Amino acid sequence: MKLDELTKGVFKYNPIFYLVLGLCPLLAVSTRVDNALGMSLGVFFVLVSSNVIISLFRHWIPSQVRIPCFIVVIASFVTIVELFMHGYAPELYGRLGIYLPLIVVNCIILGRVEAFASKKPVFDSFLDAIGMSIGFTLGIVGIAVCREVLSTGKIAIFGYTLVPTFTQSPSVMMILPPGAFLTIGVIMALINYRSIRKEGR
Amino acid sequence: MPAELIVSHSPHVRSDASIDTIFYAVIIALIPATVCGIYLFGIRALYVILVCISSAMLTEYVAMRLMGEMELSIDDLLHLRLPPPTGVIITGLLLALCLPPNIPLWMAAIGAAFAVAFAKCAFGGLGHNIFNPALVGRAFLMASWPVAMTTWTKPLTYDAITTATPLGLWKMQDIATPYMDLALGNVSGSIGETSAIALLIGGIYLIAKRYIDWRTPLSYIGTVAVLAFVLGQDPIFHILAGGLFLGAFFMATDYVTTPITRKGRIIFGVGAGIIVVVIRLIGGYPEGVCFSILLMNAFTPLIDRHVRPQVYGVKRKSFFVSSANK
Amino acid sequence: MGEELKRILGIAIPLIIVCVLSGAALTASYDLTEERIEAVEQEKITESLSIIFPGASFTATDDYYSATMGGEEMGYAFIAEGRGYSSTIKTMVGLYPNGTIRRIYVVSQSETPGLGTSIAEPDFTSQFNGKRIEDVRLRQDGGVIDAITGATISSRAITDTVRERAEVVLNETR
Repeated sequence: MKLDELTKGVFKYNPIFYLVLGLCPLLAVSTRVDNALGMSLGVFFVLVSSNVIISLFRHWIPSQVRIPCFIVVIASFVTIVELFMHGYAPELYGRLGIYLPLIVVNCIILGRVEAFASKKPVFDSFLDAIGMSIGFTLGIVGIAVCREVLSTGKIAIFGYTLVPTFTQSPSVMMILPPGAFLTIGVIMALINYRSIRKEGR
Repeated sequence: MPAELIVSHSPHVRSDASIDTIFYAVIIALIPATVCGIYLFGIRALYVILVCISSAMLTEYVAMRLMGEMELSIDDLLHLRLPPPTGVIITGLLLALCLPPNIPLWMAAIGAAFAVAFAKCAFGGLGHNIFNPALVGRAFLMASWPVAMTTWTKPLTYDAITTATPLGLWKMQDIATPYMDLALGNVSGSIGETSAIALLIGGIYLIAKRYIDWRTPLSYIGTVAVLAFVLGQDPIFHILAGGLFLGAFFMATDYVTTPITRKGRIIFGVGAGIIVVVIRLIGGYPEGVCFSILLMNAFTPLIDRHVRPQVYGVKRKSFFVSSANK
Repeated sequence: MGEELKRILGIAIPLIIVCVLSGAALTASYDLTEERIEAVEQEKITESLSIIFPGASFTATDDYYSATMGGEEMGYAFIAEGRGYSSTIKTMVGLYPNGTIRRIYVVSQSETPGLGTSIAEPDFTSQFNGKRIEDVRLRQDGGVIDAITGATISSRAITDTVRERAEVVLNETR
């Protein structure tokens, strides 16, 4: 079933909570929901383009130099994203900072290209990339929601307040790296708790 | 066979000390400092202590239920038929003693809940934790609400006049505090850390009862004094000010999170002492007792591995060989 | 030899093609965005300059901008850049020729949110208005600027970089 290629990245093999990939940008950028959305957009574009391109050329790329080829392709797409974001979304560009170019080394992208796109047809790779991007987006935005609420006492996306301020003294730690580790840990614990109980029955 | 000829396995010497009796002794030893804190900072301090203890107990109860280690009905809870909540009371009390007296009560409650849930229960409960739960709670509060955690009140005024701690005054404005005030506790600071004498009484009680090893506090406080003196600081000020006595007698001697051998305990104390002086003299914070013990907690498994008691009848080997051969 | 060469070329040529294509794509997107990026960067500077000296016109030199209004010299504006607690803090500074600060404006920083970020807020930055350069130090360093509680490092970083750059610029203008 083609649809499986799409949905597996969202739940069953969620890149963050199941594959535990791409934690580096996750820790850094999940401080605010709009940063997380911006990052997801970047990852979405890079992952889909790289997967499709690599899948298209998978028969021409010699296996000895496949990793350099993948990295060159990925790095090019990342740089393209970076240039356009600098020009057209300068504020987001400023806030994502170094983590935008670091999409290059986001393991999700190289991981999917190597494990999936270099072996599968174009359309499957396209679906896989979309599924994985959605999975990544769900993970990073979910964590960002927890962290932003707890660390600022509100949620504001691109200037629109979604959750109004409910406390005057939010927890500063949640916006610092330990807050990200804690949030990921708690969410993973809940997921595991649920799956253990499911198995038990 | 006559009964007197039966030889049983070790241990041959038995004592009444159980986990519970030791924990009760620690609570008794903390009474002077607690009373002192309530006297100095008023009823507000008592509220903080009560909130911390109840939040810690409640959290442990919920965590045990979730982990399926305790089967209690609502009826048991209503009639207070709970298993003795020994360790967790100490965690709550110790956390309260190292909080500023005017901290918002809900923050104290969150701190205690965090300490028990994440530093104790998440590692598997009593005896399995790597870090001292009370200090993890304090470090969490410090990172979360730095302003509330560094707003100190003047003792004996009971009306929340904010002021700096002796270490803060020393670090930021180069003002020394008289020894007498430091010893009696007539200075601003955390609820239970200000009176060196009250803490010393509790500490000596525990040492006399042999529930804690004198080596840890002595090497810890001694290192701070010597290092402070060598670096041109006032050693007496540095051992009396801040939370050093509280940390040295009640936290660096924790059974679970500190080394088990005598040599290991001395290494622990010296290491923690060095970290305290380094943080106080060149770190960003004026006080470093909390982080010094947490950092040394992280080294504890390593210390225990390298400093093993000699096996009886085996030739002494060089220090690192035993682990290198593994 | 022929076989070996063929094998090497078989590996190298695809890699070269990938690199050339990537290079072409990058050149194209650079061309497409270059003007736009320059405009964005210029706009940032213009915006902060107009916050420091509203309504003035500026002439740029190597290190600073001279602000004039109606032919009369108002002062200088320059960027002071220095390492903060967790980021590089970039501040636009307005300076009167007599050595007092007109006003400062934080252009970019990413300090600890909720603590260090307060250095960009008017409560903190307005302390600099009308202060002599030599007084621009934290109170505990013998100056007149109050540090933000819990963010001494960020406060000291911005205060010191502003003072140091201001001294350099003032010397250059004399």
